[in-house]
Amino acid sequence: MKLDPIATLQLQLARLPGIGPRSAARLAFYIIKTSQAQGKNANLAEDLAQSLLDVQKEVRLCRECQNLCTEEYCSICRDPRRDQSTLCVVEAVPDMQALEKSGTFRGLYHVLHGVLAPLEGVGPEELKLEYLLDRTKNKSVEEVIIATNANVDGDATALYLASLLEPQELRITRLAMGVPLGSELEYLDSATLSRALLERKDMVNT
Amino acid sequence: MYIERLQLKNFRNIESINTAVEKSWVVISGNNAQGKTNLLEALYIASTGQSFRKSLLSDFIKDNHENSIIRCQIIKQNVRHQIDVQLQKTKRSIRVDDKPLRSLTKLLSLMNIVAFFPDDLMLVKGSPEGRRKFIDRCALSFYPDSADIFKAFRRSLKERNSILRKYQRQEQKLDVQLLKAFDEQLIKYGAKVHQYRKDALDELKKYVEHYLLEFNVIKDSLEISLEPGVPIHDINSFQSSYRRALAESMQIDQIRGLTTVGPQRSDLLFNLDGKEAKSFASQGQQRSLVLALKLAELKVIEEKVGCAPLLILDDVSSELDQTRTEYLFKAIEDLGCQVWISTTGSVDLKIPKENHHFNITNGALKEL
Repeated sequence: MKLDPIATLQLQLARLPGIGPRSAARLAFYIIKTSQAQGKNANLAEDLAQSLLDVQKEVRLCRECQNLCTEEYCSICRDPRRDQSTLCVVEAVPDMQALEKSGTFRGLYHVLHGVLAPLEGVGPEELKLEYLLDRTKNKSVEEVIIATNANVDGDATALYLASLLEPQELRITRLAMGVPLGSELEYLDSATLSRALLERKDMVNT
Repeated sequence: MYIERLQLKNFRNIESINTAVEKSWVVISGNNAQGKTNLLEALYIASTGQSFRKSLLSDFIKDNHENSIIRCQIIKQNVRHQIDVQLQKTKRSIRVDDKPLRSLTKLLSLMNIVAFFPDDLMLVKGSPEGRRKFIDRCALSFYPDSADIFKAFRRSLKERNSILRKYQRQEQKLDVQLLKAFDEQLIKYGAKVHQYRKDALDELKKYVEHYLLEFNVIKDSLEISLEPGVPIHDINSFQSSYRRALAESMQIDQIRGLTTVGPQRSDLLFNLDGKEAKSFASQGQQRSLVLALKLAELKVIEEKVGCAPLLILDDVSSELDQTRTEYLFKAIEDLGCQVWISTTGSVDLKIPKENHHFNITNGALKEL
């Protein structure tokens, strides 16, 4: 039996996260419509197909920090101006991009591509934590900043990592938590607010 | 908070109801199996998103129909809101003021209800799980922020249990550090869960004893205590007791493949005049105790939220004697909440004059 290409395209698109059958149908028909027409969007289908093949062929993990890149080492690891002595551990590439956007951090990263979640079958081996330990041991790393998310799995991962790193006698830190910039106390959830209170800072003589 | 209009479509045995309500007392009478509880259940779903009975989604939908609709127009602190629940065979969707609902907790804090259904009688003599559910629901209504804490606690427990289970089934070696990392989450959130329950209980205590004295169920004292589910070694720190208890139960936990100590094992104990209610309370006393707890819950919500929640009483008076029923109704009047009450009509209820009285027969509602 010959498969209907329109239906197949819809089904393929619906496999993407955040895309339901309706959005998939809308996207599919848009792609089909533009590929039939003439004009600026005429090559959308071909362009898209090419891009998909390109990322599959060219994108790989940085040998150093596990970031996504197209060469052996990512642009951050190749940059000699980055501080080689601090390492920031993040759950995923978007987290790293967010930190980069802040412009405050000038050290190197390590991307875990996940967090410990025994329920979902993610343990220390799946996160390749051994590799991270080798990295901190062999390079001149002095501080590891753990920047996993502030939820059950993220916090457990941070604790676990800290216990693994402890023998290496490094400085191990965790991102601070508290009042977001520009927010009003009135609207803050009580958990964040009590954490901010506990971790308050002296204003004079610091 | 009160309901101004209720619409039901194809809900269980009810084909269609569309009725405006303007008074505080709504009485629904009818013979058995005509739809009284179904109607009250619909109100419960509009507040909590789920039923108190174990049901499949398709059970809610009247035979030979595709979906059922529950629509409530409520007025809360002078603002009108509309809650729409649509139940289909495979999914449930809820809209508040024509916008999709983000979280069930939002719904719960918008449409506060306190409900009494005959199954609640099991609260006193039934399993600890029922009592935990009751106190957790109170905590959630009194402190809406606690929802995230409860969720994180359940998640930590599941993660820890999954590590233990994999070890028990010999699928994986035991990584003690990994277990410890999740223990700390469990302790952090478990201690908060315990505190929320304790705070909620302290709030309830202020009123329960008063109601029980009035109900003539106790002569001098009621004691309610929260069994923490953790042996308390250190009265100053629940966290350190919990940490020690986890360490001590380590071997048993490994053998059984689950966590045997913690707030997931806690319980409420009731003592009426020095006698343990679980083993000594009579049917009537149990019923009065549960009602007193629910009235106290209502009173605390009123204090915290600033307006009285809706009260639902399903077949409440069938086992209360005349004087207790009269007192119950007086207490409700004092609370000033809207009350939906169902009765088979076998007992003569002394309901205040200002009321709606509906009869339900075979799912059809008629005002008398």
